[in-house]
Formats: sequence, C-alpha cells, structure tokens
Amino acid sequence: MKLPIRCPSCEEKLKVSKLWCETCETEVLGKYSMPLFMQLSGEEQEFILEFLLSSGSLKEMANKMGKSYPTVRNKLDDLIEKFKNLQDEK
Amino acid sequence: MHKFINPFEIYSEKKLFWLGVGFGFIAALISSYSNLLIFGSLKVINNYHQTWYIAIFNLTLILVSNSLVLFVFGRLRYNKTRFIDVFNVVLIAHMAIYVLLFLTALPVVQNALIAIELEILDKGFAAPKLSKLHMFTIGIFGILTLSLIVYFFYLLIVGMIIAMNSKSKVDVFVIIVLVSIWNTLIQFLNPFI
Repeated sequence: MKLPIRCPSCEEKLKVSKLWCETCETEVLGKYSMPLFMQLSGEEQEFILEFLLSSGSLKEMANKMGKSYPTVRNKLDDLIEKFKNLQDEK
Repeated sequence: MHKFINPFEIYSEKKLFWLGVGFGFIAALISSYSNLLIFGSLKVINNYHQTWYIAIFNLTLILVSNSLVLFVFGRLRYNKTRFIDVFNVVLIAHMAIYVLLFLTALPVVQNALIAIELEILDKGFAAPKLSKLHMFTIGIFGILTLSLIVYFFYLLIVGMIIAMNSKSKVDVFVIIVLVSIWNTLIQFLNPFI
C-alpha cells in the first residue's frame, strides 16, 4: 500500500500522529514530521536502496537497471536536488 | 522501438561507442568508393575523390569537431558532462547522415541527380525538364533527406539532454543553432583533405 505524503484535501504535507505496535497493540500519539526518505515516491525510495546495495556504484546500478550511465547519474542528481529542496522546506 | 527513439537512455557507453565507430567506418568506406564527401554534418557533395583512409580522416574531423563544440557547451551548462557521452551522441546521431550518404550513393539517385545537373547546366534554373522516373526519385529522395536531417537533430537533442542533464528548452535551441553554425563554418574553413 502506498504511504500518502500529501493531504488529499489541501495538498499540504502530512505529519505522523499515530504509531501502533502490531503485537501488543500499544499506540503512540504525537506530532512527528515525516522523515525525508519517506517523503520520496516509492520509485525514488527503491532507487536509493538500490544505490546503497550497489555500494554507490552508478555503473553497477546502470547495468542492473538496463539504463545508460548518464541516465542513472541524472536521476541521482535530480534526487539530490529534490532532497535539498525538501530540506529547505523544513 | 525505444532504441530508435532514445538509444542514449538504454545502451551503455561502450555499446554506443562501438556501434557509432562501426557505422562510421562503413560510412567512410561508402564515402570513399562512391566519391561522396560528408561536407559538414548536413551536406553531402558529389565527385570528391578520396582514399579510404582519407575518408576516415575527413569523417573523424567532422565527428570530433562537432563533439568538441557540443562538449564545451555541455560543460558550461552542467559540470558533470562527460566527453564520451557527447561523443557517443554525435556518433549515433550521424548514423542518420550515413543513411543519407548511402541513399545518395545509390545508382538510381545518382542518375537522377546527374540528370538534374545536366538540365540546369543546359537550360538554367528556369525550365529544367525531367523524366517522371527522375522526378519521382528526386521527390522521394528529398522527403527522405529532410526526414533524416530532422532525425539527426532529434537524436542530437535527446542525447545531449541526457549527457548534460538539461531541463531547459533554451538548450535545445542552442544545440540546433550551434550545430548549424559550426557545420556551416566548417564548409568555409574546408579542412578536408
């Protein structure tokens, strides 16, 4: 299931207000900001995980993804830019 | 189909490089054996005698000079632009021009072109008369030529957009202008052997 990061009604950024333990059903209520990583789309999160698992090798990533090196590098650059913007928004 | 729309997205730099070099070599041989010269990226001229190694040199001159011009522009816009990516873009985009060269070398096209030349020499531009076959050949050749030049620019643009991670439409315009200017300038400089 996709985690929503924007309010479907007003498009504002969503915050975490409730955490729940599946085993003992303990609930934690509060106001937490969504971690930066969680604010990315599923595809972007997958890309970063893949980057980590490839030990940061863009060439290996490109081989795995069946894309060219500059395409993968551009995607990473765009993600870095997005991260910076998200940090600035904070 | 994607390999024709955007080969720069899916193929590795090695594959693009060897594909471009391989087709470039074949184009140089066609150029030598048919006495045609790729005179700047956008023009093919007749009756230019060159040995196969001179043809390779002349073609390399065009490919490397275009790559350098685009690389300098790419580097100015995005400091991670790599020469190999720009060179691959130029190599692959020129495959459209090689097809144009091949079409020009076909005997049926050569006959039609010679017929036009003779008609113009004889009667001037005002009233050249051609047979229906020659007119049809030239018509089809003209359409294919224009399509191939458009495809050449299309490949250059999609390739350069990836090579320099561009998101600006101005870059597309600058690439077209730069390539057009450089390939006109190289005709005046005429460094070909």
